[in-house]
Amino acid sequence: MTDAVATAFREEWGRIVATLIRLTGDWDLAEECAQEAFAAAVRQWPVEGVPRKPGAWLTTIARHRATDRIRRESVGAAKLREVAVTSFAEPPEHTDIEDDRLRLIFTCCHPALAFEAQVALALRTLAGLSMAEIARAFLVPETTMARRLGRAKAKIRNAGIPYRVPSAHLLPERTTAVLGVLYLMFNEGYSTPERRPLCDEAIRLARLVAALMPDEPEAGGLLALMLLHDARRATRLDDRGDVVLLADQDRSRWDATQIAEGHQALARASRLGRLGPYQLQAAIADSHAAGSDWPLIAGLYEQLAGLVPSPVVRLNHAAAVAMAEGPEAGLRLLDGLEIPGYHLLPATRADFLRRLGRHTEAAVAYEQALGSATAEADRRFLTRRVTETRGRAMQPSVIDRGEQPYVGVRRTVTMQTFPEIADRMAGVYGWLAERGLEPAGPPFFRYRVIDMDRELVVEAGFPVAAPVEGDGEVFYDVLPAGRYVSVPHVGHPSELLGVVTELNAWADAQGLRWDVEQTPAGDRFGCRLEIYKTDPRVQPDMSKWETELAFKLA
Amino acid sequence: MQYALLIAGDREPTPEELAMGCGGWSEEMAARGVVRGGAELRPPAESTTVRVRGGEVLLTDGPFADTKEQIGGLVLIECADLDEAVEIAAKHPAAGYGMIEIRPLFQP
Repeated sequence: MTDAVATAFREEWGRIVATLIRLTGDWDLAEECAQEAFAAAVRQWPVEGVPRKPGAWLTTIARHRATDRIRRESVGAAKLREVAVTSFAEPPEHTDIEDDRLRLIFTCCHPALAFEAQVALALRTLAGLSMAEIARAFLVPETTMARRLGRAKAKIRNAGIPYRVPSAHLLPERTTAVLGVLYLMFNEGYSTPERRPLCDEAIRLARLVAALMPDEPEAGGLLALMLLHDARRATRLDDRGDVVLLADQDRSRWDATQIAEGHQALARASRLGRLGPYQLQAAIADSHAAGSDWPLIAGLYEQLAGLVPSPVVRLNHAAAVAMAEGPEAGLRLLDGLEIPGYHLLPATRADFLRRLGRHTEAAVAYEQALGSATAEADRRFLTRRVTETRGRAMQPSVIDRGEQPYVGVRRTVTMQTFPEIADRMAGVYGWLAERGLEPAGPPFFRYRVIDMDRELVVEAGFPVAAPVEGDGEVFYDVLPAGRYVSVPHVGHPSELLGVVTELNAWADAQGLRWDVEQTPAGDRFGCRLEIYKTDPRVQPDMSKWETELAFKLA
Repeated sequence: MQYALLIAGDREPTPEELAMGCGGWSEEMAARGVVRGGAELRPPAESTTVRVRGGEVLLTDGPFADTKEQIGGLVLIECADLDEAVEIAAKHPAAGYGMIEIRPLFQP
């Protein structure tokens, strides 16, 4: 095919087929005549030059072929008159043709047809894909696809599926059906790399529908959604086909032109002032393209959950909230959520637990996710995470500790004002140095009283080799001897909160009880330590720090 | 276009459903002139299935399909297209507790 014919094919095929179906009522005839018109273009345009209006030229030829065929087969004189009524010279009326393509879309996406038939029909008649191309997109043999298309066309003809834009009272739900078909078509292509052409075709058709229905904000919203997602296609999978998380994707490789087009399509749709699920999802994708404003995205998901009561939307909402407010808030939103067979739910829960330092629980959740994941790339990712979290799982042991003299500073703080005591650590060190004393071990926090919701009494201390006299705010005391549970941890100290959660559960299961007394001020611990073994001057990266929890047993 | 509406269900309608639904449909469809005939069927337990094999007439007690859903009645309609047939079927009271299959007839 020459370039001019190829261009005309892309732009005019659907228009010509749609018009011929209206005129002849015969889908196969319409396709065949359109094909013959393009064959004529391949022969004549290189010799006679490209006509001024290629679309009109092709439509005229196709109509003539249809007239000839119908005359030859002498089918219905009335039909013949209708096809022949437009003379050769007369260019087809523009508005009529726009309506024809819209008619065709609504007929292809009629809810009385099965989804695969709807997509196949749209790809064949509107997008002009060959049977072989459609079969490839669905990963089925060509003969299977040909049978499926044949059955769909027979049903349209014999069951009386009308060739028209639905009347006003049916239009909203049928428009939703059309957009739903295009959305599913896009998803089919997006989830399987071999079906990628479906994404391009879905975008083309969405562009057409958005242009044909300029007053339907969800059509524009859907187009924007597809463009914004597709713009990230180059970075979604790595060289081995493994999933690359959004945060790790190389933004410089995103398609900026497509992002801009998606952004504009969304802005146009939003101006119509009728919010819908596609516009909301597009707004989320739009925010990701601009650097992910997580509080905004969490809010958009909340709105979406109000419109679409789906557990998957609630899962995504939880994930966005976790990014905006922390994994703990996300974890709370997952409570009571169930999506059987959907690996992303346990995988998301696992991710929250991992970020909270609850590696043992995270490993269990990752294994659960692995149980229902099917895509190879997903399975590789989850297997990696299982190994990683298992390796970092809490390993508590019961040890005996002797008495330990120490010096320290005490403060009453809340979880928010914790830095007030943390910042005193250096002061205690300085106090020792002034007296020419070396610490006898790594520094620690000693939690005396804990009421997580209100106040904590915490000491920042350094072990010393021999008793010293306290002075000013620095006091001298002794950590009691006894049986302790000790848990080493490697990772950011913010994860210790999660380790404690797991440790408490473990101790319960073991029947071990802490040396603790409940008082009106909170839980008063006999000795509860958080020991910082890494010298921050040697290792400034906190995610590599070694710490130890040591809780005295009753 | 002519269609058969095959009305099926896995249970009998409750008296309330019957009382609620019957009002209106027949009158509206009569006024629109779309109904061409129909019948209400007695329960499948009272049916007999006939086959002739090798010249022999074979009878079985019961319907030919042993499924939970059984056809309880049928209505023949004539209307413009499938969209109108769907609209007519959706308005039928049985659509609210059972289901209705719309089957196009061979065109004369």
